[in-house]
Amino acid sequence: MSRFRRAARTATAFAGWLLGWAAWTLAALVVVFLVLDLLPGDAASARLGQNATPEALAQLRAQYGLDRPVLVRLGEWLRGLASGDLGNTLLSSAPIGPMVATALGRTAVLAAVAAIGIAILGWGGAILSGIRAGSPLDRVLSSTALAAICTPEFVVATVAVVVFSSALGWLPAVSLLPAGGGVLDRPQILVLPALSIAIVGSGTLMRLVRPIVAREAASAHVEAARLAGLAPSRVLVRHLLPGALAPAAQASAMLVPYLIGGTVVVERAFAYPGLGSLLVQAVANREPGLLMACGGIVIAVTVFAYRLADLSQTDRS
Amino acid sequence: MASPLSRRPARRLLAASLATALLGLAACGAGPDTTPATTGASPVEGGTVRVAILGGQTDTLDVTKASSFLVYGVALNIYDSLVLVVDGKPELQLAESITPDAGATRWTIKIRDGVTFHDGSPVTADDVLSSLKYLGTAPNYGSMFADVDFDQATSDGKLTVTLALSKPRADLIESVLSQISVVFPAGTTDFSKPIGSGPFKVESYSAGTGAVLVRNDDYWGGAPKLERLEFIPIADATARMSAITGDQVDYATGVTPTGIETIQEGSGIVVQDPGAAESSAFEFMMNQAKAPFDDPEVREAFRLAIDREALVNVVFRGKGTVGNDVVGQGMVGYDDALKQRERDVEKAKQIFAAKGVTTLDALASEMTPGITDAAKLMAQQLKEAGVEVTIHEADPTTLFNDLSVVRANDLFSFYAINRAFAAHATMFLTDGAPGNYFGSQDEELTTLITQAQAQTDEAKRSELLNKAQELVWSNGTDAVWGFQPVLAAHTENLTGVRMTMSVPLFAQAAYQQ
Amino acid sequence: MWLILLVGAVGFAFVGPLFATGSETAVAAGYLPPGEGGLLGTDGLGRDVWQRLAAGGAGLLLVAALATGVAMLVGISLGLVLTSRRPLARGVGFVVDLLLVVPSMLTMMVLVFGLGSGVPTMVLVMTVASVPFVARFTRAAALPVLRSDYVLAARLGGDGWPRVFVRDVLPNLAGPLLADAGTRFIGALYLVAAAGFLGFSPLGGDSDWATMVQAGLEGIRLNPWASLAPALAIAAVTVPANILVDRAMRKVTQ
Repeated sequence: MSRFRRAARTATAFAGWLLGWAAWTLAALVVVFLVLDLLPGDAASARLGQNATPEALAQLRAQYGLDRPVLVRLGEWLRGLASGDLGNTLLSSAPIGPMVATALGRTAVLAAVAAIGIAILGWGGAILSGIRAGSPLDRVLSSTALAAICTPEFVVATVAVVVFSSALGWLPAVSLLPAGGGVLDRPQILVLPALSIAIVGSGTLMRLVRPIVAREAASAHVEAARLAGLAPSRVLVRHLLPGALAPAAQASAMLVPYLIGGTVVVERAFAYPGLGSLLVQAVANREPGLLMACGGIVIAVTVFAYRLADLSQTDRS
Repeated sequence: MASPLSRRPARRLLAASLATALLGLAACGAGPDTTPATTGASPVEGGTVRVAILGGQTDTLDVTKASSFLVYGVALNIYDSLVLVVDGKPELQLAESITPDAGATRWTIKIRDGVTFHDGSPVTADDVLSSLKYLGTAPNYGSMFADVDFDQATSDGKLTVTLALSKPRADLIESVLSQISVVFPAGTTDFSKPIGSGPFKVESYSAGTGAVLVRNDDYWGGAPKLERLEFIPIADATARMSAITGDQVDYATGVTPTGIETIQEGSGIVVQDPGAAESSAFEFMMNQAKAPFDDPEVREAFRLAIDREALVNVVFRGKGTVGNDVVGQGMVGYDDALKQRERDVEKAKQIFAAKGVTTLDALASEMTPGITDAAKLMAQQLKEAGVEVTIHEADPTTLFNDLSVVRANDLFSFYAINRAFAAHATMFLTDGAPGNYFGSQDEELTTLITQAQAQTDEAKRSELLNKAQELVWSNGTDAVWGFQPVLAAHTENLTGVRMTMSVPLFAQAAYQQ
Repeated sequence: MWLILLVGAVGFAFVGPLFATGSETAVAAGYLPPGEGGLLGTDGLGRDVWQRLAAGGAGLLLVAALATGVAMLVGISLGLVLTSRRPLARGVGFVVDLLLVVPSMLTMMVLVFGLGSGVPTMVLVMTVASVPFVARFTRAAALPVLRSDYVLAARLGGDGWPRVFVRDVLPNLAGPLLADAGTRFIGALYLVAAAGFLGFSPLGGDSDWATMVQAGLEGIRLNPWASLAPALAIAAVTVPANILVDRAMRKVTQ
């Protein structure tokens, strides 16, 4: 009985959490939609470019449905969202839903590989420098992390291309997918983009996690375990990490919005056809529907990460 | 067999092609055919060409909705066009003849017999008319086909289409049909795997990864040597360059002059430079609607003050042709008798001083890379003629929403695709033309262009157009300073790639052994 | 030592434009390596990289500084409003939280989409991206101060909230807020650099360090300095600034 009740309570809490997530995402999306509408540049003027005359503009706006009141369009967009129809691009009349889904899939693969790199480099660095806070190794690692954070991703990407592609010839300089194929048909194209994201991201992660590890390392129970003569690796796994895990996980979640920015830049640098490239294209071609769809995913992921961070915080307290 | 009616324009095309071919060779001398083929090399059968081309994830293969070059690149290799401009001259492709009536208001198009689509069905006049209608009523080509009255157009269902025009257009071939006239089966609305009658067939297309084309063994013009083409979308010019230097593609279009300079000796990569025929025309537009450029002498002074060679050397990194104030260089109908205007700072200085011109306002909006650099360099050059130019920068994406921003200035740093003069004039120069941003008025020029459009006698039309070009050269509002070619890079054993409308044609291309 | 580097780099950026008079003039062929074409070689248009480096920092730093200033002003005001429990403050809090979940890269995309690029847009982008963080930081830092005895005393003495904020609260927050401003400044620089790389030409034209890095990429094999030098210049500002801010942060939060 009580087990059932506990399960029910967990389910309710989970449902509430999901609902909160959806509500925040939706609210942020509505703000973005309204802001986008308030600003002067639109798809009609972008498409006509040199040929824009007042009449042609009015005609094209009518054709794109941009002449209707903003709230009507917002309502329509939300209704479409609810039924899973994201509409078509204005210029090429291609359905946005599948386009975004494909791009999201590719970006997810890249992000997963990058996340593994970040976790290994970031946690590894944080543990190495955190357990011996103040040691020369700590100082070297900490400064390296700081330097990595301050280096824009495109600089890292460029250096990586020069070294691994131009000079050594090990890896492709441009992440081209095989025509009609998927990322996994040619996994080597992921290495340099993932590395570029991981170097910058792991620096941030390491700086977030290192103080937590350092604090735990100096804490009484870890000290006690060490004095009791336990092997360092055992101290690390049994006594140090459990205490550091929850706050560090929260810190990791805070990393997500920064990584999104990095991914956009890196995808562009390697011509990788993911969500970031699509977002840049949405801006360049002035495709509001596409921008909203890509932006929606970005916001949903960010809200998810933030709420996850909040969650682990409440769990702890 | 050419009918008597068709012979005249055919000859016209031939004569024009010879003239431009000679001109083209003299002017640039670096066309695809002049790519040095190693002695003893011979074309081999088969092979795949991977093409890096400007494209993105939003592209569909419908040319009326094209937002990038990938779509055109695929289209011009899978469809037959009625007529295409190659090396600056119109070349009949699917059409056997395109002939006007005496008043140039009724045109008869006869197509080749025995041509079939990729699915085996024959190409008929109905398909041609339906395709033209589809193109001519789309937003991006609508203005080009504005004078074609599709309600009055007829097809005999076999090989002949008749187009009725609402006003005489003797320049229909170079101004309209050679801009776009691809033919697909009548009633096509789904372009996910389009069917054409061209040298290659679509095997697959997916946005983001590109299109795969395979050879059409039944092509009427002879099956291509190449087995397979892959058009791969890459938005960034530097990335396209990296792709070819990293051996990830075999052909890269739209590469930059600086990118080309990074090609190392012995890398096996060569550059294809089509010259002015495939180029963008860069110019400074002068605002004739207000002082000081309402005075032809001041316009003359400005044209004498700019250093075109320096502009080409700096802005185009020397990869380009010096302009002579008339658009259409390297194209059919260009008046080669025009004298190249040379810089004369002293004379310009005198005129500016005499007219009391000491300051000018110029608008620069980076519609394409180089526009702002050109304006900055021009300002330095004008300083030598005693005029201080203030440059105002504007965002290109919203610039044309409000032409008053443009009109507030005396000068406008601008670029346009290099088209035949007759086409350019109707789009940018005549009274009320959509691209006549400053609202300049020139009755004489407008009359000459209208007369030329009604004149079907080639010699007389050419005479009228030459007169108009002379007028634009001596009295017009443009200072056209240079032509920047669309540059491509490819592996050196690939030959025979031709270029049209900034995209490569692979029907006659082959690898050499 | 970090301070010296920072002052040196910023000083260079602001003194540089005074002597870099020929930064826009082509002096030689493009992408000549150092030696053949000046101290750091030439860029793609044959301009002296050293001269351009000297000329290209001030604008970037000014825009970032301006944006940071605006963001701090707006953010601090909002943060103080957030300390209240009135409905209005809750409304503001909701909007701030909403903005917080829009990543700065997306904010940039949306504003560039609607406004085009340029200095005002970049300032706006960085303001919108920073304000939520500044506001939340201010609120978190201000709450303990507001509960302190002397604020209570000042309130009991009849001082209104604005007076209390200006006289009693803000002076106590100066340290943390300055440190936060440092963080925001670095973020702002980073964002302009990204905008430059994505081809949005954030400051109009191509004469800032960020755009120089991007523009020099295609010639990196001919003259790496056209890209590397401005990249290092940006790092010479952000790295020491970050380290100093980091130290200051640790001091004020302890």
